[in-house]
Amino acid sequence: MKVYPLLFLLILAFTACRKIDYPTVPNATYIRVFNDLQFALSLENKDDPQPFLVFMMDPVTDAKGAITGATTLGDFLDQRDAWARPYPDAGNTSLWQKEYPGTYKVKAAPILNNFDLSSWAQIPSGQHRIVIATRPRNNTPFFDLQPRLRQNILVDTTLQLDTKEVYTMHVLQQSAVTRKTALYVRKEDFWRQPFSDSLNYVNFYNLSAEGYASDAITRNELAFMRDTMHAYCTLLGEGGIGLGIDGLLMDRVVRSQDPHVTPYRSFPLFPDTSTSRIYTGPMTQLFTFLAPGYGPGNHPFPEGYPNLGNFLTLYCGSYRAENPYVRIPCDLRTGLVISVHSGIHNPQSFATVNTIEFVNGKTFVTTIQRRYDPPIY
Amino acid sequence: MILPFINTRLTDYMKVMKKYLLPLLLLLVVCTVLAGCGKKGLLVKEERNAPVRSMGDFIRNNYDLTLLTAALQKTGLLDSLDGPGPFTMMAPDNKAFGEIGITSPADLDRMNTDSLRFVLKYHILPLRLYATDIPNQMDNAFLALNGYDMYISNPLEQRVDATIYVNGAEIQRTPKRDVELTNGALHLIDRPLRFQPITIQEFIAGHPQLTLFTAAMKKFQLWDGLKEEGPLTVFAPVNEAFLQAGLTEDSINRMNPQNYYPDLFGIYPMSFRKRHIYSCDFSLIAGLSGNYNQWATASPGYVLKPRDGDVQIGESSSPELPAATTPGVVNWAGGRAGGDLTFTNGILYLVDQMFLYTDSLKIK
Repeated sequence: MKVYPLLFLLILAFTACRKIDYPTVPNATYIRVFNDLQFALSLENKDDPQPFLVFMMDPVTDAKGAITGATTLGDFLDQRDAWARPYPDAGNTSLWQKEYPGTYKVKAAPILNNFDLSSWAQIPSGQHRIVIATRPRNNTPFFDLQPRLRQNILVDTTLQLDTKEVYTMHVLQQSAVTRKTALYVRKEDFWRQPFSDSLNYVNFYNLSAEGYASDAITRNELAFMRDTMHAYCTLLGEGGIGLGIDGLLMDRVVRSQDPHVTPYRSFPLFPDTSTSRIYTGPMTQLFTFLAPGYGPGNHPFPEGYPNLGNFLTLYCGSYRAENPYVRIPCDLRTGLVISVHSGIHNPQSFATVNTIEFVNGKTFVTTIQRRYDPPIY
Repeated sequence: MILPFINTRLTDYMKVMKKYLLPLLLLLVVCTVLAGCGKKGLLVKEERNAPVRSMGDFIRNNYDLTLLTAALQKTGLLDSLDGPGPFTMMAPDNKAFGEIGITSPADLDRMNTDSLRFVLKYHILPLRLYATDIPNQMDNAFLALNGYDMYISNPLEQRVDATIYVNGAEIQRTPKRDVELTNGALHLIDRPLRFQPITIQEFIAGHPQLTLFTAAMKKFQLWDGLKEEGPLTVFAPVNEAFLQAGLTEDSINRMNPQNYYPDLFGIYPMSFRKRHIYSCDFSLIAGLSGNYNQWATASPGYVLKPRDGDVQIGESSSPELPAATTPGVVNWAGGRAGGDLTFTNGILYLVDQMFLYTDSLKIK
């Protein structure tokens, strides 16, 4: 009789035996790729390659030299979104991607020095050939396209990627005159820095093409910035009331496609001292960009009108200004601050590290979040 | 059942009636129910239940497609369209054939059967394609049955009633598009597609109306460019246009290219820039961006805008060229048959007037 419980346990033990093969990438390095190309269709450029790309690493070529496969493939790479969110949008099943890895099921990077790098893909480090091609905007996988549609190569380069490094890559227009495309590879260092978790960090880049600003001045475009600007930060609470930080000089923003990391500037996580210090309350970060010679309280430009690139505003957060040049809500309540249910608090606010990039008249925000505790219900 | 009641009195009759009424009624109900169980003829006949017609049947039975039927019959393609497919047909209706001067089957009979078959195959795709399947961009290349690309432009919106053009011909609106058939889909277009598997140079060389254009291109050393791989967009004035402007073969040969701005004839092949512009492109792009001031650079001093039926010529801001040297708008030669002619290396428009006044572009 005593044999039955034993048998039962045995069955239980065997059914629980399941082998899971976790993919491992030896000597991994971490990459994230954005397509920053802009394209306004006109009669003049309708036959130019479109900003709908395929990213291939270590492509396999056939006898004729045509690419027939790649070890790492980021197909359907569409223009990037205004906000690069701090985690992959796992519920999204769309084929077209806003970035690589995006929603591709790849091995994501680990948490590094408390930074959540799940938006970066792991690839083996070492020397890699990278090929970026434009492709038609349809749902046919790249290698199923007719061979002649696979020949519009924009970038073909070889890179040395170091072990356990974080790289952000951008496909950029190099010059507004030659319209050449280039791959910009930035070795990030935010995860090495001793950042405080009660401060938010942000750095600025102007990755526009050479000659873009002077063209935009001729065209009298609405929202762009000149090649040298100053960035100021203002923090706004609910309904746009001031939170004590108004027109704080952050950085000098100089147009450059030289891939060095610009310094991170900070603003406090809890500027409003009356809050609980758990949740900041509705909050908006206003970044004002002004040409040298003007100051936040000292310029003649009304918001929302063309001003030859002397003045630009970027609102991140819940406040809806009347005539903003750019509004990227990011976290819908608190902008660059992430507020989520964590532990027993719902919501709890967390400081982040951000990158604001300005490329040919478009502004992009990338938010990187720290690891936080899962919610307790 | 009635017999027992004969010769009985009314009261007896009533008694019997009461006795038999209920069983009788029951019998009636049972009979009715049983009769209702018969299934004979209840089903709709098989062919009524079958899906809609095949493409060949549809074309054959459509009064608007009699010319297409005649053309398909002459080339022996009509029966193939009853096959399994799938096919997608860009079907020009009778009015569309009229646009290029084909009004009766007799006009078709005068055409070479092989070349007619070839161009008809250019109207057919070996797949089933609905309006909503067409990706949202200009010049989607689809391989037609004759082995060459058909260019479908759908830049505005990917939806069932979007404005869609194929090689400059408009796909007509619902219900004249997305006709669902057993072996494919059919869309009506507003003019037949014009395609020849030769280069633009070969076509111009063989065209009786373009001898003066040929002479001018040769004289100004632009002739060889017309056979380049392209894609090119070329505008060719017909002979009358040259004669109107006082240019004969003799006077062209006496011209010295050094004495003229290169714009004079460089404008016609758009200075051999890689361009692939159909007449629909301007309205599609302007509709998309709201910018109606769209031009394509054709030469250092001039910009062009091909539209449905005409070509607009504009001056770009080049200060060294003399002003007012162009008529501004030039019509296609031969109505709507003169534009969107597709060749292996690009698109050709025949025009009825010179783009630039010869004398004004003389270097002084």
